Amino acid sequence: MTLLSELQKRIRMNLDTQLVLLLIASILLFAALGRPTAELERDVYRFVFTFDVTQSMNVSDASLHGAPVTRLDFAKAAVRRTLELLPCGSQIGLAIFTEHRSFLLFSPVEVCDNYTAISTMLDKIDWRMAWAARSEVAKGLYSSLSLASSLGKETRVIFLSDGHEAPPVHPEYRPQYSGTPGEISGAIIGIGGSNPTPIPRLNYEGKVVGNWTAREVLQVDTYSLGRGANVEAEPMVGVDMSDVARRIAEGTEHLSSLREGYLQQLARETRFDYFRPETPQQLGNWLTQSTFAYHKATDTDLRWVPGILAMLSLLLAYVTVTAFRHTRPV
Amino acid sequence: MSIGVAYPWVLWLLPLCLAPLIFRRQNTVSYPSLMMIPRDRLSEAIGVLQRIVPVLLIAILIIAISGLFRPPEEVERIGTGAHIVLLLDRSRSMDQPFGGQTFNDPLATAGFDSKGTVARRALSDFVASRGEDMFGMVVFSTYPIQVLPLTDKQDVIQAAIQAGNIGRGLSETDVGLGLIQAIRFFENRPFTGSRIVMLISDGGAKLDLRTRERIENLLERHRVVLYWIYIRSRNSPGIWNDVDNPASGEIAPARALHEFFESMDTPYRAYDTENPQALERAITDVNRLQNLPVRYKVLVPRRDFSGICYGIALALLLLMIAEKLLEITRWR
Repeated sequence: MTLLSELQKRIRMNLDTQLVLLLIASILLFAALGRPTAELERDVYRFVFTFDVTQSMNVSDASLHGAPVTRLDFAKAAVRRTLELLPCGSQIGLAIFTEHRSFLLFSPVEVCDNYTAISTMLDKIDWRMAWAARSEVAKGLYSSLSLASSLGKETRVIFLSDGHEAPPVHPEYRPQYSGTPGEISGAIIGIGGSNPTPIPRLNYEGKVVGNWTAREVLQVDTYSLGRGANVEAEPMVGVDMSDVARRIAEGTEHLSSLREGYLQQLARETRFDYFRPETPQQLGNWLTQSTFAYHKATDTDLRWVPGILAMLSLLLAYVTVTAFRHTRPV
Repeated sequence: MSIGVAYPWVLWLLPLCLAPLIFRRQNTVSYPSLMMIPRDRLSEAIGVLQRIVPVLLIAILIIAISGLFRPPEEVERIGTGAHIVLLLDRSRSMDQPFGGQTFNDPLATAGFDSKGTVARRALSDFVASRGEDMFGMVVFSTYPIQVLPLTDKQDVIQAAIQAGNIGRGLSETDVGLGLIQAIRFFENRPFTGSRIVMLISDGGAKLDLRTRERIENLLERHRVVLYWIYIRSRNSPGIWNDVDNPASGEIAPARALHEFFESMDTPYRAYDTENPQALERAITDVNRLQNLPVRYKVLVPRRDFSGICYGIALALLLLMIAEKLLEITRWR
């Protein structure tokens, strides 16, 4: 009690502007120690990159720093560049596509914390991950859209492919997208050159052992080949089989180039964007534009507000602008 | 140790801390003569403090506002974690109901936990309780697919486990190829801690002699311990029940695989997900394995020093207030 009354007496005795300012500053500093924060919105990204790992992606008609590289290597380099450009708080997941579906390796994780793991895994993506030697691009795209639908609405699917369907699709009987176009957004990234190039055949060690020849691949779509039932190659209703023999003989499905028109058509049908990067940097820049971003509320440190106010009151408390000494009447 | 500043331009305000020295504000007390006041060394000392402390106080406050921090840095640590490669079955059969639950209608397939769900839950718990270990992951069906390099980042490991919840499984199962790829994870790596391949699968396969030999050789060469977290299918006898039948390999391929693993010279253990203690046993078993000290690098996250600066500033300020209260403003 005596201590408290002594304190009261002291405050009353010494009460002047300086003391008031000091007390205000101390309250402000207490407030700063309480870590005031505010939720501010920031642009971040959440991508699932789906890599086409089918054999046509082994064609070396892309280029990095002037040297020819495979389409898959170019795609990986482009995603790596994007990974470097994404702001912290963004998330990346990786998936691969072969046969008729996409397979998620891991769902999106934060890029800065997991940079090493994501980047190492990016290196490991390889055509040998393919579990079947088919490349039904449209179905693969649709299945990566359905993957994304269970990963949250902020997820953008980035599908990197050369658009080479194997076996070829019949222009009228193409696989249809069963979802709502525009519900999931993203982009198709066209990879590869424009000139038809032979597709290398690799052994399991990854060495080129030749190219796929015209006779080894299906040159026409399976509809045009007819039903393989009791009657061999029985024509299907509505499918013109008259010139199949000629089409097979003249087929160029063993050669591969970027099927840009087809990918653009798929993009239109799913309301995706289409982009063909010349360099990894271009993909990185294109993907970090704000249309792909979403706003995420992040806690922003606001300690500087009471901090600056406390500093101002301290300056006022200790500094006097008058040259004359302040005197108090007795 | 490096130091970073979030807003370096704030430091230009630092000269402001000298202001209290230059434009000093001092209260005076009218008194006839200074000579009449006895010399008081304590008061003189306080007087010096009274000049220096405000300077320090404002300087520290400016530093606090500028956002002092230590950037994230790589620190070498010595730990005793194991290196574990998770080999997860992603075949279509893993989408079917798990055998360790009660079925009222023996034919119903809906509304039950699939074997895959049970497996992922078990794995996710296991990984979460082994924070110091490094995990890699391979999923297998027709061909093995590596989905993770060896990493100690819990986030990405859990994301890889959760990825299995999305989309159906792939078609077939080739345990042999999967095992070979999982063991080969350790190729060309120095032996720095126990190595475990953890197979999570519902089924078995009769492996051919060549594959069996290859698996045995690889396990021995790379000194890998094999664990099998067995997920029993519905109506399957499991791997522990004796099937007294010459064709047991046909009836229960999982049992055949289990017998092959047991016949190997390298350490092997099987765990059963039906009994809740099994997973804990697996966790303690990993602890018991010989762990050599592992040198590994961890990224220590960014640490904020502003809080400490604000704290020091407040302490100095309270000191100044106390001093102020001791001042004598008038003689009575």
